[in-house]
Amino acid sequence: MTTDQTQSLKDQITSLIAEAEEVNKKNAEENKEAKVKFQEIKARADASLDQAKNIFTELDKADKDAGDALDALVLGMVADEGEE
Amino acid sequence: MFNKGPKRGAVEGLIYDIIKLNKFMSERSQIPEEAKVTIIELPDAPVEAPQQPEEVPTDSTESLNVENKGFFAKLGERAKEVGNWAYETINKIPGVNKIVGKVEIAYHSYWMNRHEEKARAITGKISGTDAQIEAVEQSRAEIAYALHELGKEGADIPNMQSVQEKMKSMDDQLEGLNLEKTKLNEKLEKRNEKMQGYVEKRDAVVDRLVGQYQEKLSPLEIEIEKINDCKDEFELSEAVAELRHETQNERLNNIEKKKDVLEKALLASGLSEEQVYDDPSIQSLYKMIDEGREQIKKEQEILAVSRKYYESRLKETESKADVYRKKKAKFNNIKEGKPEPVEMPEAVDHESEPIIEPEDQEDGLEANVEEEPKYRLDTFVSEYNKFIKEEYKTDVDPQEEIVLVNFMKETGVKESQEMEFKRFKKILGTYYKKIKLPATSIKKFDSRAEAFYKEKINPEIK
Repeated sequence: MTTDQTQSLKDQITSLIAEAEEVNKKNAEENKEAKVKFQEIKARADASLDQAKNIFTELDKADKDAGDALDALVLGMVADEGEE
Repeated sequence: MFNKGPKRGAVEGLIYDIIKLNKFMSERSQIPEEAKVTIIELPDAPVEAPQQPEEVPTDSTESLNVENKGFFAKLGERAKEVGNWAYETINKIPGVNKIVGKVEIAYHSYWMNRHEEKARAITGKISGTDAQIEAVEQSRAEIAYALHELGKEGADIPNMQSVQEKMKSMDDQLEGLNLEKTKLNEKLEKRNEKMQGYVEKRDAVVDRLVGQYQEKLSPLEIEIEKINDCKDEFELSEAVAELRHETQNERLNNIEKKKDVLEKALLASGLSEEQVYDDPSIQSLYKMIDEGREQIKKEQEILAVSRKYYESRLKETESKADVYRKKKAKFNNIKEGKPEPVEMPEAVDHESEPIIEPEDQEDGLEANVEEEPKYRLDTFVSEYNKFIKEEYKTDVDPQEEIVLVNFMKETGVKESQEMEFKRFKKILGTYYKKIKLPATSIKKFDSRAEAFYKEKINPEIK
């Protein structure tokens, strides 16, 4: 193989490296774009999950308050048992 | 009661009445039968008490707050016995559903039964007092009448002083009995008011709780719907990402093929394997291809984690919401006196649940050894639209027909993008979910897509 032919192969390798760099860059850009979309969807899901969590906390608080009030009532009725 | 014996003279009759009066007075100390109070004992095991717990808590009042615990501590033994029954029953219920137990106890028929028993006992006492009042009043009236008649006859009344003392004693007794009756009536009234007060407060507490559930559950359903929408949107983006990764892998495969050709040419030129493979340029190509593939692999892993995130969070939220939905139904049923219509679910700890890896839905097409043909997106869309209209005619939902512009906008896939049928099918399926195609049409999608594949894409497999 002549020096020219070897040089030609080396040029092709250099060119292929540039092409590979371009492919990786393109792939990275595409994935970055998609990542932004995934993050945006997740942010919305997280906001709703937080809201749901808050509602559960409020419901638990309602349970607790009602539970205490019912305890007081039941104990009032229980205390009646001690009378008469 | 008096003057019912054989006819006597006026004085003789009066003496007879006084003897009877004395007898009556001596009997007065005994409580008449109708006035006797039946003491109803607290049952050993209260009526309708639920089954015994497997493990009886050592402190039955553990679910009480400090204030109520303090109140409980001051109760008498008899009251504590009932209190222990009530709170042992409540404590058997898992934490999240304890409130259901408290509502059940507050609405337990035991309290109303006990109230009725006690009220009945007081009413019995009042009836007994009434009977006594009536008897004394009648006797007094008859004696007064007899004295009046004797006075008219001018007869000499023996033991007049004693008779007058008896009359005075009867007046005192009537006063005492009337006072007793007033007290008993007040007691009954107080008891009824007390019970009515409990019932009203209990209903108010539970009505308020149900109202709060009503108020909170509607926005919760909206948030769950939003999470579902996010999951649908994620799945569509995931399906598109799979197509993108496929394309990206093809680009890298193409680079690799070119690299292989160059390596062979270099080896053919007489360079040694060491010279070729250790060449920095070739090494650089290997590195770039590996890095490119690694990048795709990482994104695939992130997608898998994200999928698990949506699935587990949605399942967890749904399951939690279900507990509250069922509790609300249960409260209403307890109030209406419907026993146990709803099976209460246990709260599930999803954190510790294994998450099932979603299988890649390749529809069995991956098994085909032969390479599947690829078509442009716009070709798939126009052919699929044509197929469903020809095949299913009027049984096609307007949303089922794909509007290419909208499809590209939602998916980000270009019209010129080539893909295999399996990719198109997956993206279309997730797209339909995202645009909220009616569930009936979603159900038909799989069979319609398969029919399209067999008719138009790969007729040979028919």
